[in-house]
Amino acid sequence: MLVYLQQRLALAVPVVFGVSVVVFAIVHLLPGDPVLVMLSGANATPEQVAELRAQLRFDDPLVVQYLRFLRRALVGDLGRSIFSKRPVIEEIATQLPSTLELAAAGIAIAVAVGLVLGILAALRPNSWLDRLAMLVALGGVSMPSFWLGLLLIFAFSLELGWLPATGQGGWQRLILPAATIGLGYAAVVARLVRSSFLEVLGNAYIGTARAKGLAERVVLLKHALGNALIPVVTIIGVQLGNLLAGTIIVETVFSRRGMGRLAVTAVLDKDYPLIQGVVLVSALGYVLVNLLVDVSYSLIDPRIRHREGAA
Amino acid sequence: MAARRLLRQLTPWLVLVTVLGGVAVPRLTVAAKAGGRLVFAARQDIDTLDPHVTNRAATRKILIQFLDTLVVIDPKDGSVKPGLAEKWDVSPDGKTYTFHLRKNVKFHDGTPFDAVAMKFTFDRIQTPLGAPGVARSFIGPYESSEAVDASTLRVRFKQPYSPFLRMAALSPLGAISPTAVQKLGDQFARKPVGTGPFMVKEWINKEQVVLAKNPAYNWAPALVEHQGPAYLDEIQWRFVLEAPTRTAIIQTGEVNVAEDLSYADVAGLEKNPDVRILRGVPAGTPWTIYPNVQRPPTNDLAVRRALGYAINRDAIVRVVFHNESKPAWSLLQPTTPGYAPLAKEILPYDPARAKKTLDEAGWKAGADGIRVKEGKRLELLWIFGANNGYEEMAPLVQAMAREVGMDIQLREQPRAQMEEANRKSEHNIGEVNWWFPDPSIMTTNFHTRSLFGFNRPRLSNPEIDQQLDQAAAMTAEGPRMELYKKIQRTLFEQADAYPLVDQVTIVGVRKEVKGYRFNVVTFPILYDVSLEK
Repeated sequence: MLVYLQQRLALAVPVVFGVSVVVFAIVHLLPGDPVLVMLSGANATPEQVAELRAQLRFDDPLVVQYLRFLRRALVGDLGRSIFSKRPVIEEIATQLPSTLELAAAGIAIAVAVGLVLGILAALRPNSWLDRLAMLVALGGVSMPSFWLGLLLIFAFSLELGWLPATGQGGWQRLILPAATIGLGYAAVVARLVRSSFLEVLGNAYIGTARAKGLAERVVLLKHALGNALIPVVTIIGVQLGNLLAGTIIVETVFSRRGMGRLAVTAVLDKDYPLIQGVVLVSALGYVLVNLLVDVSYSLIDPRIRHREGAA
Repeated sequence: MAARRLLRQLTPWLVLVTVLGGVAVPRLTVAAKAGGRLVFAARQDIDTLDPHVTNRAATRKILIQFLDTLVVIDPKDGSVKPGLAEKWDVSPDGKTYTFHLRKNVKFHDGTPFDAVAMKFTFDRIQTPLGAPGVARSFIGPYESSEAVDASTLRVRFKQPYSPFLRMAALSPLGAISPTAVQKLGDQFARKPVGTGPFMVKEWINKEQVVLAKNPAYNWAPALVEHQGPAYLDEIQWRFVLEAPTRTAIIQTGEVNVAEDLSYADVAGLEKNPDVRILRGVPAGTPWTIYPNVQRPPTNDLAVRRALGYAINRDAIVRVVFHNESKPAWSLLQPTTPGYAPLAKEILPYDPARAKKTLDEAGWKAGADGIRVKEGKRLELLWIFGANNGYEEMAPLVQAMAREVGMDIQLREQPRAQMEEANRKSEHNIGEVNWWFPDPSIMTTNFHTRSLFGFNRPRLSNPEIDQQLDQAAAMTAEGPRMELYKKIQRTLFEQADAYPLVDQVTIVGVRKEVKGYRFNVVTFPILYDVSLEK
């Protein structure tokens, strides 16, 4: 297990390195000049532009700029935002917890709602309950999150007055944005749980379990659910990227701080160091989550064990 | 039974108490004015809180809460009134300004405000602070300052600079504490220190800025309605980027004020008894588009005039602005000195005249209705900025131009790329509008010097340049404004700009908010605001 972990972590190094190269290249190849963005409100002269470009060291060849970026990044220094002048690490540290909180709550809602809908549908396939659950799921997948978000605000804040629509702090302010992210995601989980559950229920060992006279509850929760969960865990890992992308819109609609807001402003401002930092940290997060997903297989299903030297 | 009798006996007393209470109400409200926290929903994030670095109006709206300026502008008539300076003189050549400063004014950190602090403020604008912000443009051809004595400041310019008095009223030129700048270094941008009625308490990126009352404040400019400290204890300035979200939360009461509501939401909000809609007309320039006079086919005067005759401003006001604004006929907003609605006679809406002008210039209608001259189709490229405010107007103007045989092609680009394309003269139609208290903003839009900046028409006309320079140097207000009117006349005759619609600011405030007012560019003045339940 330990060797497996070491191998996976070693593999993550070239992945993150590759991401850093690609991000650096894309950011610098995009049209638009950050110096002109910085000067957009001022009636600047060409001399001022040249002066600022030299000051920010954008005059150096791209390779030199990249190596400088890499050398610093290796010791955890992602540079400073060219607008706020704060270290990029600090900018990210202010925003990341809020997004993690939102993502975690979103996943919790997705898994809870998805499991319930999926299992209900699988237990009575083709019944009205199944159809209804899948209809809800279809709606969840199809609905754009900015629209769903505004609908939730309209219903629960404006009409019913149950929950605050915007801001930070407290579970009340987390529910609506987390639901906006989670419901779309729950739909995917529900469909997957349904098909996976149906497949598992057809297996011989379920018949055996029932034949042994186990209570139906035990059969379902212990024998069927564990096996049905594996694809669900995979999809949660794979979909995490989408979920993080979703936070961009949700954070804007619900006026929360977070990585999504940070990323959007960084891109619009062409704040090179900030864009690189945000993407790099997100890529690291993605690699880490996929590792966790792989490790969790063995926890859910004892048949999957990463032995020494295996993998 | 006993209870009912008791109640009957008490009733006259209850009535009396209620009546007396009613009489006492005015006195009580005066006392209740102070205190409370105002939550403000702002449309945009800020870039910094350093007045000398910022390039954003979003930041300047916060700056005016915690900075004081040498002078202030009366939004009613655009006149200049005392602020931190009680009096001032301008030398006859327009190059030297002497300010006589208020005494007993202190920065939030206790540093006394004096001529040395003001000199420090102005000098700092000239030092490299990363990007030069708008402050550098506002201070113009600044040469130096001199603290003649503690309360006398002399400011010198390289050339005569008559817009300076109005510029000195803008928050990026407000007084900052020299000791705080030295002590805080880079962190000054996060927790700046001024002399204003509120102090910056905290700024959390992408979320909010919290401002606290300055209890020592006792030097409010004459314009405001009271003296002494502000009524509010605290302002929570939240960034709520989505217009529908702002519309929702001004109704739920999560915020007390929501700025820049969408025009389409106004009618619905006006039915809500808890919300009042306030409208302001900022000084500056209207929503305006400009033809590129250097690039074909808009280098042809006939094409430029025809486009002017083709634009139906009433339709734009109705469709895009839901009748919340008015057609614009001047290069300046009605609240700006020098306002002259001359386009109404020079470039009126007259499609028949547009067609005639093009016919006479040799642009003949082709098979698809688009005119052709010497084998060239009458195609114009409008590069418009994403979220720049013109995206709904552009397709309307496109349809109007098509009526007279012009094909406007629309290309949307992020703001930064739009600026670059404009500077490279790749456009036929460009767009820009400003919030600005002085007609000298026309220098920014039309002077040869601004070709690298915001000269959208790519104009380089020696006569216009000379008149703009002359107007910037004139100290007599009357003749100066006449000259700006003359410049506008020339520009309209050459069809170098089409003002479309006046800018309006629409703000929703809840009914408990009293004393909310706009400054000259419709930024909120929160000093007089109180919350009365």
